[in-house]
Amino acid sequence: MLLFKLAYRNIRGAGLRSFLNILVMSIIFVLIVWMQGLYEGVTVQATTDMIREDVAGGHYRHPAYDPNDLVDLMEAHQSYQPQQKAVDRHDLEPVLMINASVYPNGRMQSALLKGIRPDQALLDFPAHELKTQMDGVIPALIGKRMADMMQVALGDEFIIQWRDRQGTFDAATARIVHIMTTIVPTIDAGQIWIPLKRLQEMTGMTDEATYMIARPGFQLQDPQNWEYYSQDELVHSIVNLMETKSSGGMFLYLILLLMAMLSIFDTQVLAIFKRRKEIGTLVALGMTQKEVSRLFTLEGTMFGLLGAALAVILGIPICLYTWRNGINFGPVMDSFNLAVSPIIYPIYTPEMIAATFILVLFLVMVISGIPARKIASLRPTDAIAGRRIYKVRGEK
Amino acid sequence: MKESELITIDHLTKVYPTGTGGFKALKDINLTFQSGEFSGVVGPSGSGKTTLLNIIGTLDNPTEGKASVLGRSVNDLSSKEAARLRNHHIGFIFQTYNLLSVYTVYENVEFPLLLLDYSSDKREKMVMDALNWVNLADKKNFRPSQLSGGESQRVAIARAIVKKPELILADEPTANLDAKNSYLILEIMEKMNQELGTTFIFATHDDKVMKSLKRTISLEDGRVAGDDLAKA
Repeated sequence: MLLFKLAYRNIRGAGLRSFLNILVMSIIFVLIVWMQGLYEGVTVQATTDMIREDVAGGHYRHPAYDPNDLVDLMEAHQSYQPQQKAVDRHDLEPVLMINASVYPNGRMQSALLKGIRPDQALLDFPAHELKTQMDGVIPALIGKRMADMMQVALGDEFIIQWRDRQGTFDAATARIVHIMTTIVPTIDAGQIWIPLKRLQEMTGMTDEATYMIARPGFQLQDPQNWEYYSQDELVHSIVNLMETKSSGGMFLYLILLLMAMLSIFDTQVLAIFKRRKEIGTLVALGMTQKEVSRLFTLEGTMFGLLGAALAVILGIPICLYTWRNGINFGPVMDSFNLAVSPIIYPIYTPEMIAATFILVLFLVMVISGIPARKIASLRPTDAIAGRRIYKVRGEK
Repeated sequence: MKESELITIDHLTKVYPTGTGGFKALKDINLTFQSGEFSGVVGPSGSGKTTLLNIIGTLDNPTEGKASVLGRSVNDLSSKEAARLRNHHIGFIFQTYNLLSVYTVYENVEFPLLLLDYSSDKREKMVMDALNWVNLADKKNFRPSQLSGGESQRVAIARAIVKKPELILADEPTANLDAKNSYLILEIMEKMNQELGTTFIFATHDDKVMKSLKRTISLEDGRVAGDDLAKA
């Protein structure tokens, strides 16, 4: 109790220096929690959007279809007639994919041509825009990223060149009927969506698909030659990507922790040099060197606790505001190449907040304990005079 | 040890380890101090005055020989026992005051009483008594940085006497003070010695202090060169 009282007096007595230390600690607490909340928010948002716009309940893929190798998709398609009933019920949504070349404004670009039924009901995706009937012209739906890449606008026409299942080249004119704003790059970048039936006719791949999207909760009893990828497996890739992206964030996290350490390093470790005379005086007044060590450790720990308390006061309004209103990162997130909206809504979980506080406080205690050994080895008679002379080994 | 003997020092030698074997700060010292003395250890710098005071104050240990303070052998005290002895029975006054800069005058004086775990009321009464002794009650809320050198040393004296110790060790208490302040604090300490019977041992080479001493022990090169018991 006495040590608490003395530590409190020392902190209070140091006035502005103490306040600044506590303020720095609290800002670091808030920043760490905020940053972690942001990553959590990005991950949740990215996975939620991906599920809503691309994954649904999971995918049944042709075994030759590899989303990481889209150079040649000619072998990656098969008939879904055995699953026709599920397709008719919209429990499954077939998607056919082929490689194509497009010629917007006379320039050639590669693209993925994807066919989807305009009346699909599994995804939050404007496929209904493909219902537009146009004589000979293929209605095309693209995302904003693709529109930027192709430098085309709504209503623009361009040539599509593709090969059918025999390898014969063919070409037709397509017109942009809708440009969707989506944050999921897997349905946007490099892709042109057209009606499934039309693509099947163009390629001679009647009733064939590259993969089928499943309604949440639906599973084929006999998937035959379709390989099932669950929602979790598909989302796992984005979580992995987030973890890769957040390794950069980890660096920032470590910097913040280092700053927290530094703020008490100044008070605690440098105290050995700055407060030598005080240490000697405390010993002369009747404290043992162990008690002085404990006092210093306690002082550092109290800095951490007070920092945490101030962090709660400062952090609650900041975190509440950002949780409700989100943080608008604008085009920054787009350049981050992640399936996330420019407005990020951080998510703060009690476990994450508690873990952050425990980790920082633990490190603060460890750092605060560093002076203990030095203090114990100070020769009190020299410390009183402000000299820095340590006991030699074996000296009492 | 006779009942009135507060301190006995018997063939005391202190060696500080150095790279070349060791430095002998005190050599075969034999002394006794009676309760109520107003004594001083005098001598040039490096003669061993402060070392002797540190050993009497249980802040240091003899290398050879024995030192007994208030009936306790300094050689045999654990660090905890030594700290308790200092806390209960010994007051220190330093040349550089050694006030705790983040504490107020009141808190500095109160500090030894906190270690003694006295009640708040008792502490307040004792602190105010001590501050009245040194005539600084009106500055109890000041910080050390707001005080003059003389005032700071008076606070240090108040801190040393607040627990009414049997022994006060004063290491060059006037070295940083002008003549007026030196006489003022000497007057306070003499008064305490006379009225409270507190034993004072100084380490000094200040003539003003030497003149007021009732006993002067001269140290030269770590040895007792003279002991003026006649004045005691």
